[in-house]
Order: sequence, then structure tokens, then C-alpha cells
Amino acid sequence: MLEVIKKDLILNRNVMLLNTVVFTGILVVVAVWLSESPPTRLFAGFAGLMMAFLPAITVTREDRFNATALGCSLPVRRKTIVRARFVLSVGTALLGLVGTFLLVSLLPHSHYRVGDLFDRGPLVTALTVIAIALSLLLPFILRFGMNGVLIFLVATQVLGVLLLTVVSVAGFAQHREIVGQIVAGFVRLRELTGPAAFSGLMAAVLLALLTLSYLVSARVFENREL
Amino acid sequence: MNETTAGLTDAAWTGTEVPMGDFEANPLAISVANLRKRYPDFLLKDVSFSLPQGYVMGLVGPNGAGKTTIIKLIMNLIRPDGGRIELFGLDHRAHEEEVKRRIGFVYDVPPFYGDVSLRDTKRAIAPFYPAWNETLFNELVGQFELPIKKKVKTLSKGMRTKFALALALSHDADLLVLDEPTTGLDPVFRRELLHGLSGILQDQAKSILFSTHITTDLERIADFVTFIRDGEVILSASREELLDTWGVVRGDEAALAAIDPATRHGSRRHAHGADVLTSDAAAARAACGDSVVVDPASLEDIVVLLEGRKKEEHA
Repeated sequence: MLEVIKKDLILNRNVMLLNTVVFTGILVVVAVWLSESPPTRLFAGFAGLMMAFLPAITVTREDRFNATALGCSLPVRRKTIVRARFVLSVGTALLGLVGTFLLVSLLPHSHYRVGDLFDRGPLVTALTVIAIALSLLLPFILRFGMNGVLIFLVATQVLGVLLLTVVSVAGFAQHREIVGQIVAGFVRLRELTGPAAFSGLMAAVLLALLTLSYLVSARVFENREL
Repeated sequence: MNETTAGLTDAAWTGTEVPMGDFEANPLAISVANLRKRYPDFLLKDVSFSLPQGYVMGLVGPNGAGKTTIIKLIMNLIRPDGGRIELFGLDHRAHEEEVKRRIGFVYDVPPFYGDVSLRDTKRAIAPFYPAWNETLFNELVGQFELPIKKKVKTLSKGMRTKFALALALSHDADLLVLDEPTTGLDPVFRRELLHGLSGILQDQAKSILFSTHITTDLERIADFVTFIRDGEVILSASREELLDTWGVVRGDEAALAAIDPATRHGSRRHAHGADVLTSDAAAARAACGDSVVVDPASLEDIVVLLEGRKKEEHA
């Protein structure tokens, strides 16, 4: 698996660095230059989402150069390639997140301080967003390559439109009620289990989601024709 | 006599010094049985052939015949709908890593990252092969005059193929799988390459599967030839079998009618009569007598005349 990670890093190094700089730059603009800063958790979630898209670069570049066949003709199982992609994706997203949080919080005139971003709330938000985004995104890009990113984005847009339609038909108050009930359910679960156990439970759920995503990705990549 | 019409004479088959005749005793490098693959507009039909270790097999056929599909199936890049592939006696999927470590693969269009240098591409690929030989790679880079610091996108198609060959030859592969490797190469390098491949076969454990539509390449190095057309194996035979039994019978059409239809595999009309491809040249000579000329069949004759049969069938 390490050979696959090393290969992806060597072949995508420059573009990954460039994208990290661009994504971090956008977050710096939000954190420093916007007159009104978003709430810390919202900023953390946004940062998590951006960092989750970093690993997509390796697969989309492979598509651009029709190089998936190169990786799959090497002496390595496709399952191992998928596992390496997951490890690299999570690792890159986490490194990008920590680096961005550090940079943003250390910059003069930033709306956020180190203690704000490296607090449990923003970190849990960012990690949750990363885990969910990667879990949903990776099966698409491993199966469909560059088109997978587009399919994912279009699918989420369509889903958003559908939700908005449902909300507008059912009425705003009812929507607020449903969201309120979900939040209340989480709060009650947290009260019942205690903060530590709740965090552990959430981590286990996210880990299970990533594992499920890996199993689906391995299955679809195994059957991908090159 | 030029190479395309020279026929399968011993002089044309200078590629290997491995003695033919004892190949049946060798373990198999490739064994393909009843391989099937269906696409909406193409069907690979129950393809079977085998290649003993230490020999070269040429996969030959017109564009779109199914050569690349067979190679992709062997490399596990696409899934078969049926059949079995064994490499070195092992199932190619169950033992994927083990068998691929022993294969050097050259693609018809080498799929490298255009914006990465040759050196970095090598750095990314070499760790996958425990038997990687850096000294040999550097020698090949020098021999092929590859600009190792330049990006892949600056290379011509021929240079990319040379780079792919350098990678494939640098890890002591027991089997080289080459998909149209000579396409896009200049004649001088093509000749050098074929000579180099012959050299590899001095090690009797090495084997080569070589797909091409340039039949003269195969005449230089192949020990076995498998003809593919429309997804079907039309013929898979050793050089000896082709030399001993196949031939082109030339004469007027009335005389050629005496050839047994079961051994007749295609024909071509021309101003002076016709040429008929036969799988039993001796029987055809006996049947037609002195009114015809029987020549050994070159690979080009076989490809062209088999295509002639296809046209006859369609007509």
C-alpha cells in the first residue's frame, strides 16, 4: 500500500500543493478579509469540506492522462489501490485542515484564534464534514473518475433542490420542526450517554461510514473496466 | 526479395536461437482457454491459445480484431465474461500481484502523466518491483537516448514507447506483454528493438507476447503466431507448422479449383489468375500439378488472404 501512496504523491505532488495553497488562500480570505466572520463551527465545516476535495485531484488527474490503466497494470491488487486512496485522502484532508487552522489562527487580523479553531466543537464539525464528504465522494470518483466529481456535485445539487421543494411545499415551520427534532434527538443522546461516550459514538458512526464507503469503493473499482 | 514477400523462410526468422520442437516440454507462460468478452458492438469468441516459456508469440490481426482486448484481459484491466487465463500456471486474478511482478507491459498508448518528468515517473513505478535493476534502467535510458529530466508530454509517441520499454525491461520480467510496441517507431529503432527482444530470449525462461499489425516485425522474432479476426482466433500455430504446411498457390482459377476446400483459407484474384492460401501446401501441389506455383506463405500473405476469405464470405 505504501508504494501506491508514494506513487500518487510523486505523480501528483505539484498539483496537490498548488490546490492546497489555493484552498487555504480562500479560507484565509474568509478568515481575515471578510468584514464579518462566519461562526467558528461554520468556518470549520467549510474548511473540512474544501479539504475533503483535495484528494479528488489524484483520481481526476489519473483520468485526465488516461493513467488508471498504468496503476492497475502494476503488481498491486485493486483493493490495495482503493485502500491507499482512502488513507491518502483522509491523511491529506487532515493535514490540510490542521495546517489551514494553524495558518488562519496565527495570521494577524484573523477573526479566529488558535483556541477558537482547535476547540472540540469546530474540530468535531470539521472531522464530521470530512468523513461524510469523503465517504460519499470517493466511491463516485473511484468508479467514474473525473466524471464522478461532476456526478457527485450534480447529485448533491439535485438533492438540495428536491429538499428545498419539499420544504417549500410542506411549509417552513414544519421543516424547522423536523430539523429541531433531529437536533433535539442528538442533544438528548448526548445527555444520556455523557459527552465522552457521545463523541466516541459519533466517531464510531463516522468510522463505520468510511468503512462502508471503502467496501463499496473496493467493489466498484474492482469491476471498473480500463 | 523484400521482407513482406519473403515467406516464412528460416532466414526471415532470425529472432531466436531457442530450438523449436521441444516447446511442448516447457511450462506455459500464458494459457488462455475459452476467453469471452462481450461489448455492445464487439464479441471476443472463445479465444484459446498458449505460449510456452522461452518463446515469442505474435498476436496479429487487423485493427479492431480484438488484440488489445485480449491483452487487457491478460493484464486484468478488463473482466472476462467467461474463460480462464493462467500466467506461469497461476490464475491471473487470484495471484495478480505475484504474476504481475513477473510481467513487463508496454501499452499501445503509454498512459503516463504528461506533466511529470521521466525520472519521477520511474521513481513512482520502480518500488513496485523487488527485482528492479537501476543500472540496467540507466543503460537503457542512454541506449534509447531518453531525456530523463524532461516531462513526458514533450516526448513523441515513439519516445514514449521507448520509455515504456525501458521500464518494462528493467525489472527482470519473465514475460513481456507488448501491445503494438513498434507502432510509431522509426524503422531503425524498430529493427534495434526487435534485435534487442531477440537478445532477451537468450535467457530461455523469458517469453514475449507481441501484438502488432505489422507482420514483418513478427517474421523477425515470433516462434508462434496467433491470428485474430473479428474477435475470433482464426489460426494459432508454431512457425514450424506454418513453414511446413501452409502455402500460397498461384495459378489460373481453373487449376486452383482442384484444391481441397477444407484446406483453402482465402484467395485473391489478379490479372494473371489468383492466389489461394492453403493449410496443406503439399496436398495442393499434388492436386494441382505443375500448372501452379506453390510458395511458402508469408505472414502478410496469410493476413491479406484471410481477409480475402472474409470478403468472399460477405459477398
